[in-house]
Amino acid sequence: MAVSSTEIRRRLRSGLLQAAGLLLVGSLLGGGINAIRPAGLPWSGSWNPEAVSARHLQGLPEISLEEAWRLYQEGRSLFLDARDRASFELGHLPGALNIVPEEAAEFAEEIRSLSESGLVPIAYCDGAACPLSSQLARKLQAMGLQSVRILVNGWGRWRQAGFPVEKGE
Amino acid sequence: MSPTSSLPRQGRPGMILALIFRLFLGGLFVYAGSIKVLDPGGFAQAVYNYRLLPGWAVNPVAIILPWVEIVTGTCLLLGIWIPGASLLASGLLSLFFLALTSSLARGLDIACGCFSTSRGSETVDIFYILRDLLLLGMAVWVFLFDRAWTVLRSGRMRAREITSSGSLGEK
Repeated sequence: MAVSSTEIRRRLRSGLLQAAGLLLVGSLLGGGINAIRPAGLPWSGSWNPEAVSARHLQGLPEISLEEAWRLYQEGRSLFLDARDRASFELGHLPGALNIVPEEAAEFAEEIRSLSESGLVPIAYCDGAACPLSSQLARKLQAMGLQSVRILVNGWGRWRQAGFPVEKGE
Repeated sequence: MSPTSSLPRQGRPGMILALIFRLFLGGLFVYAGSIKVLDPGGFAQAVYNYRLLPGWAVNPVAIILPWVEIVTGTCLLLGIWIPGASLLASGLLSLFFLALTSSLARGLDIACGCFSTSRGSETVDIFYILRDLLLLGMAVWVFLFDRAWTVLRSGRMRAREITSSGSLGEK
């Protein structure tokens, strides 16, 4: 079953040429069909963090760092950390609940009763372009929790501001 | 004399495996590409989530990559340009391996974007990397052992020999 090395070299040579041809055909097909289809993408999309963050936020209420800080000082903040467990344990905003978007349903009731007692649920994750907090907020909204707000790049900005954080579970 | 009867006997199992792998990979690539073509926006998001490409390259990749997959898969299925298609499949799967590994190494909590463009609950883990390596092995196997191409070429060469009335010594 051994294939001779000259044969492999021959296959590599024609294979590389053919692969380049296939890449070209794929690019032309992709470009052509993208140009005529209604759902086509623009060739240059805006993928800087601000634009991505704005797309994630669409329709979700944002909260400023100052307001979140004020609510925290008044003891009315209910931080929802949408990041994974390991990141959460390394450090999170004070009193935060760790809820990844998939777990939204399990926590909905708890969040509802806490927000009815006057706390403001504030979802956050790490990085301006992080989609997790928006995904979490959207799921909670769908369960009737309209009061959830988003602290964009919450973890990064909170830490940068030098506000207190907690570690562990 | 059929062209296959001239092949060495011990090559048969490898060839049969290569044929199975080729058809499997072909179908898989066509399927994977089609899913992405149906949701270009979702796929662009999946590409962006890896944070490997500069912003300007995200949409071009999202526009072109699915069709390269479909073209590659079609060639594998139909037995057209097998060396090129299997080489390109190996190249793509190697790139996917690097992307998956680096996202795992950086601890990114992202969807694979391999056979689905929605986020769902699929998060890249070691299983995706092993699956990719398995597919890469199949693609390399097809490149090395698929004989349909050789058979075709030797058949054509033989035809040329016959038409040039056995003048083998000529340059």
